[in-house]
Amino acid sequence: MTANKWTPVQQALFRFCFIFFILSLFPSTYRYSFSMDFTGILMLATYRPPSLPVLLYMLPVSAVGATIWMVRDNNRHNMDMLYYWLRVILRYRLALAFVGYGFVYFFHIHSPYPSISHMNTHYGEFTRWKIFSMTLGVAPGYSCFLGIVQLTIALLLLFRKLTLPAVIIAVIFLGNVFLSNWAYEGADVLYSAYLLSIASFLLIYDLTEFHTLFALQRPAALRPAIPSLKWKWAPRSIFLLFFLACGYASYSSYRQGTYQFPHTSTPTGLVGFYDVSSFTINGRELPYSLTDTMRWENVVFEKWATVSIRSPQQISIPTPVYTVPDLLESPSSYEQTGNNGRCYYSLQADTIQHTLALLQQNNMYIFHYHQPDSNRIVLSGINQQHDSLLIVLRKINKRYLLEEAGTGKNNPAKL
Amino acid sequence: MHPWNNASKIAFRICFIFYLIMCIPFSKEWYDRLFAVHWDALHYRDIYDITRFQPAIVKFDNSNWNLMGYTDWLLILAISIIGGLIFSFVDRRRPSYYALNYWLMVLIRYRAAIGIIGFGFLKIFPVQMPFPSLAMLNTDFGQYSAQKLYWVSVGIVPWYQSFAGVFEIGAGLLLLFRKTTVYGAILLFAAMADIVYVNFSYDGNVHIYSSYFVILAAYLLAYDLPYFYAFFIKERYVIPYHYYPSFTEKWQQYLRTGLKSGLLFIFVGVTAYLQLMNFLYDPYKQPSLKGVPALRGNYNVTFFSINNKEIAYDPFDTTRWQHVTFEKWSTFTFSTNQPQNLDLSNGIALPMRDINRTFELTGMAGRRTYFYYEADTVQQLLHLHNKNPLNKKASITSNSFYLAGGSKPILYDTITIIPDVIRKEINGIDERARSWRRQKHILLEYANAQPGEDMTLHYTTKDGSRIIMTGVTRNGDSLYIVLDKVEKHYLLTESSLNAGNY
Repeated sequence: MTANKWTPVQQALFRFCFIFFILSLFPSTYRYSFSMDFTGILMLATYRPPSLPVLLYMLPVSAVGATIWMVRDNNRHNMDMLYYWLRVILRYRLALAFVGYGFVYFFHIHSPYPSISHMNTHYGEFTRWKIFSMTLGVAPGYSCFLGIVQLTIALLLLFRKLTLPAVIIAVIFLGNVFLSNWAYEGADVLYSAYLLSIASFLLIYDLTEFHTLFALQRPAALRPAIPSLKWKWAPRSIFLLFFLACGYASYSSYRQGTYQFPHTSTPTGLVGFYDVSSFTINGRELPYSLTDTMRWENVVFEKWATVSIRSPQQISIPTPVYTVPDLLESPSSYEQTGNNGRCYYSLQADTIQHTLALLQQNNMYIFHYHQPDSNRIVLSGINQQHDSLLIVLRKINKRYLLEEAGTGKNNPAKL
Repeated sequence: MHPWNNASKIAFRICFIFYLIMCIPFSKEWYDRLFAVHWDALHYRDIYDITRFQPAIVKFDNSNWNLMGYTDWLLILAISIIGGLIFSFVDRRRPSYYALNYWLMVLIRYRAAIGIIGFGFLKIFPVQMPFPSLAMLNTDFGQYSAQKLYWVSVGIVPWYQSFAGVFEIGAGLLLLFRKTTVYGAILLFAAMADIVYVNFSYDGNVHIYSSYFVILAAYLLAYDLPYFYAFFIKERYVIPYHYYPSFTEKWQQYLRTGLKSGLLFIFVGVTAYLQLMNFLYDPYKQPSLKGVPALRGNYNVTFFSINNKEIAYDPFDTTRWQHVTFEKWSTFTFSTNQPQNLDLSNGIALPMRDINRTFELTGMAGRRTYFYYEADTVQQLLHLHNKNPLNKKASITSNSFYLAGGSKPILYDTITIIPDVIRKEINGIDERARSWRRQKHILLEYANAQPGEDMTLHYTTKDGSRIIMTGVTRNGDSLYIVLDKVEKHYLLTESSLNAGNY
């Protein structure tokens, strides 16, 4: 696009895009803290555009704005500088998004390795996005690779001359992110589509020249030079500082362990997978059953203060509908959303009084516990309805193929 | 048209030999397969086998699992360096290789395009990663191998898989035309680089073949890279130089158009049709025969007695059946607390008999026993055959072309009479999906079958909500089993795009 060659159509389209993209820079909410902690910084990096209804509302607003602008200012035929500044803003906007997600993926803190409860949940009892997340969680190396790709894009975007390689990778990457979000029913369909539209907008600037040179294989005219700016190091330096802060914040979160699981702890000696070998309610012992929804089948004590219990499913209970939690939702509900089959309780243990309280929003158990040997836990106590319970848990040293399957000949022969 | 400097010339000569070896099939097996194809009764795999080759000099037992597979490439590189130096000595006067480079790029473009299109069609009609069976849905997440988890995670989103196929085929088609080559090469490079990384991270075993496409795409992009750098980064005016052959003679033009249309016809047109038939009637990773409709579903084992002795439900019992499934195809499963032999292969082989199609049990633990069954719905009998290949002495997978008798005619010397069940299996799928290959391989797999665990059970049911099964196991134990249907609340719901016709 050379100087003074803007056709009216191009001008109208550009003004429309200009207004739309500038309006869409505003975040969806203003609940952002400017603290130096991990979530604060990453919240800033991954801030969302306005919600879908607002974005849709912005489309006619931008159209009207562009029309007024065209009428009021119809003598300007060269919008090169305005175009340049819009590209600068959008480059930084896109880089910001890639920095936030890049570090989250690089340190694989968003998709953790499955918990013991997850390992003992049937494949069909997960939603698609949860399977996606857990499948990523079992391969930290892959998550790390995706992080590196995103951070590379972010750094390339800081330099005008490296924008084209950056957006080529970005368009392909975001195209895949968009489709995965749509297919796996993830939370970021709109957000990834929005970022994809920014990347595509940036790609359009170079597309004609790229096509002429490498598809038609003919020489392309040089674009008008961009006047050198005095302060051009400033935004880049500020951004790099932010990049480092973001990296540090993510690293410290990585050191603490994923934010998807609570940072509490279960008394040592309890953690593990347990068979419910005996279950007595109000003095009546219930045998193992596939249909008795009262009786527990097995119990997991996680390393953090979570207990999950498996019981036969109640046929009358409809399948719950889960919404996908946002990135950085706090406190994270990652454990119990997106899967059924097990009931999740938060655990309050008192190792001196030997009591355990299992708490849920509408349900609770209070137990006194003792461990006759290292493999058994005897729980005696009550449930919400004050039924008296006596439960014997037997620890099972479960072997998981996921952990034991090596490569080549190191595989277990039987399991 | 600039003369090339010495370094570029030597580099080109090495690349020339390297890519020539990479792109031309040299193995005898490839040609044997090609000439054994029965073009009048094609199976999609006949074409796929033509599209899928890569140089293999050293045959490793286990190269699929580690970096050893790349040894072949290092050997080829060594050969190319030696060859390239000899080439440099013999042809030292030549100023440049624009024309030869053009033809090398044509070869690479077509090789990459045909290969990736063959791959893409497995996905566009999603059969490469099947949707999990009932038994798979009922298996704990922790009992899948990492490789299996990745495959099934794609299998649960058939539309996404299909789009990945569109992407791969799109890249392939763009490579077939000179003016769109650059776009095709970028897409191919990006997609395959990702797949290489996936394979490393999940212990998949196609890292070599996906890397193969990465280096093909890399060569196609390399020529333009200096121009890209000069124009977009240095912001200098550039005049890209490209050699184009001129086809002035009529016959040349006809030949060119004919070859191109022929390739498109076989590798896109015919393949698309064959893959569609495979998707609709015979998805190659799933058994192809329909399961008995009245029986399909999940069952609790309400009552189980062996030799007239009842065994009460206990999750740790090693004899009593638990959690029975009848799949929509010819598979019956139950679990016990008995460790099972594990088959952790990724099922790249192409068995034709349902009993040998084991995607539903490979790469998973979970103490489940899988049976292939032949149902006699009049007598209400199920003839059950254990599917686990590791429970047999040897298993035939139809992977080896030579094991399948090469191009020899169908009736194999060892088979004199074709039993009815086998005839039924051959004719058990829709006519449009039948092929010479399927018929022959079913006979071969039958002829080479090893006896495994089998039993015949009688079943009675009104509407499938309760099934009573009676019979005698191979060990002479008599069974009496009552199954009650359970409706499971899967959060993972089936897609609107399902392979197979059951």
